[in-house]
Amino acid sequence: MKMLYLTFALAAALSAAKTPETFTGVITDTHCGAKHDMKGRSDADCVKLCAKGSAQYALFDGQRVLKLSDQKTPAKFAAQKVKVVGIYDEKTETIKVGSIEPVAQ
Amino acid sequence: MLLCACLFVHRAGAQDAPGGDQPQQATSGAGMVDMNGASMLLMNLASGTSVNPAGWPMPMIMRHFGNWNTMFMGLGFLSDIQQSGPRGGDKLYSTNWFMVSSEHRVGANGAFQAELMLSLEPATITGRRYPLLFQTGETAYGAPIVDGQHPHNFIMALGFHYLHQLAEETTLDLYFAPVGDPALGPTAYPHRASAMELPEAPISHHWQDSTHVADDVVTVGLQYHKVKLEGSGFYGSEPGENRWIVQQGPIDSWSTRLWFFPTKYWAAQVSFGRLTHPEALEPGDQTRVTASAEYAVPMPGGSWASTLSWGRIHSTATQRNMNSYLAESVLPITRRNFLTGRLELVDKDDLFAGDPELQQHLDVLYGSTFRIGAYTLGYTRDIGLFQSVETGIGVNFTAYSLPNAIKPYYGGHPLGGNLFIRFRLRPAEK
Repeated sequence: MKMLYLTFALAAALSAAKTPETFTGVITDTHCGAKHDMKGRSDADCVKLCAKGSAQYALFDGQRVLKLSDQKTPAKFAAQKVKVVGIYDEKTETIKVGSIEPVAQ
Repeated sequence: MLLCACLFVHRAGAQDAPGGDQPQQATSGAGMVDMNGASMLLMNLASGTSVNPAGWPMPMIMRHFGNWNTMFMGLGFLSDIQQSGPRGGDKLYSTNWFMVSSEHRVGANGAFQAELMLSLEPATITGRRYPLLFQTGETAYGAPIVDGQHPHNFIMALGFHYLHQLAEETTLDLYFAPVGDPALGPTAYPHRASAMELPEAPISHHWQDSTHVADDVVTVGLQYHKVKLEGSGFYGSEPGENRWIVQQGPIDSWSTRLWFFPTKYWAAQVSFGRLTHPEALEPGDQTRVTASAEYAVPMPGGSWASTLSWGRIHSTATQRNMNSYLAESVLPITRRNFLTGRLELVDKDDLFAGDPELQQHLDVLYGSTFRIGAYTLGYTRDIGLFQSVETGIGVNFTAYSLPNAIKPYYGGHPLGGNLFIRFRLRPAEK
């Protein structure tokens, strides 16, 4: 009987746990979102400058701006196309980042 | 005023906002155009040249008019305050302000910004004060205000900034304000991230950040990487009782402030100022020293913001030194629920300024200065009544500690309670 309960509990826990997904898009910031318009600066500079302020690094997947839990790694890929592997939390609109890799354009 | 402002901002947005066919969540930055690095730094200013931690997302609505990036900010409280003890008072009043800042790029490395901040407090705080136990500073009907807080002026700020990036990490900041905030003290409480859910002023206000509405302010600042040094000249007298006018005077006071920004979530400063005859009814000048550290870190429900601050004033007339200490925090438990608190210890020598005979009597028996403690805890719940106006209902309670010598005049355990509705301009959630 104990084994049965344990199996049910394990099955419930496994079904509740989310599996990592792969998101593809461009590294942006939560302030500018899809469009950058900083005179005399590249989009990458714009993203980095915004992230120095109140904005956070995010991923624009063509539809949505998704916040990223990792705020260090994206600095290397500002305004570049990347592949993010992680778990998306709808409540906080944030991807808990497992890895970020550049995608050849 | 906030609702009118909100309607205006909405109309402007409807006419001007580009990218109507953009995906909804991707248009958060669509209100900005034609910016450079200097523009970005101007956008982070709070009051005068003071700043909250750069990582704190300032609640504002952004629109552009041609190549002018325009920010609208506003905060208002409708409060009912009840205080116990012989000197406590009750009142229904509103503290409120609305601010518009418009920024334009100048060349590749410069940016200009004009700002105007208005408050209807001269009308919404009747009797030239609202009750606030142990609060002192400025005057009402020719008498010093004791156990009350003065309203702010109709024009709380009118100023102009020019910021130039001299190099990648070096900026020169020039600021002139007929009404503005010189480089002295922490970010003033109406603008401070950690004070956003507290309608009442801190009782250390006139020890730390009261110069946020000063006249004829000129400031020069130079920032290199994480350090910024500023110097200001200004007219040192506190605003007069006619709150509807812009007062003017000679630049007779000065201050200097050193900022340190270890990360984007921290802003720390030390400052020193010499104020010429700040209080209308008190003789002499003041020197003021302050040090503060503000911290704001993003959380799932918003930003957890906290401030530790110390301010010391020295009166040249009485030769007294008086200290004040403040700790303040607002914690978003969830996106709609905020816990807040403020703890203060302040040395007060003007609690009996309205009764010179009693003041002299106490001075002889117990000394001139009394250390007051004020301990406030509060809670706000957002109720989402209006689009683009963050509406919340809140309550806070304050307990006070005081020396035995003045308990006959205040009661043994004076308490205060404040029930309020809060309105704050904020972009509508998508």
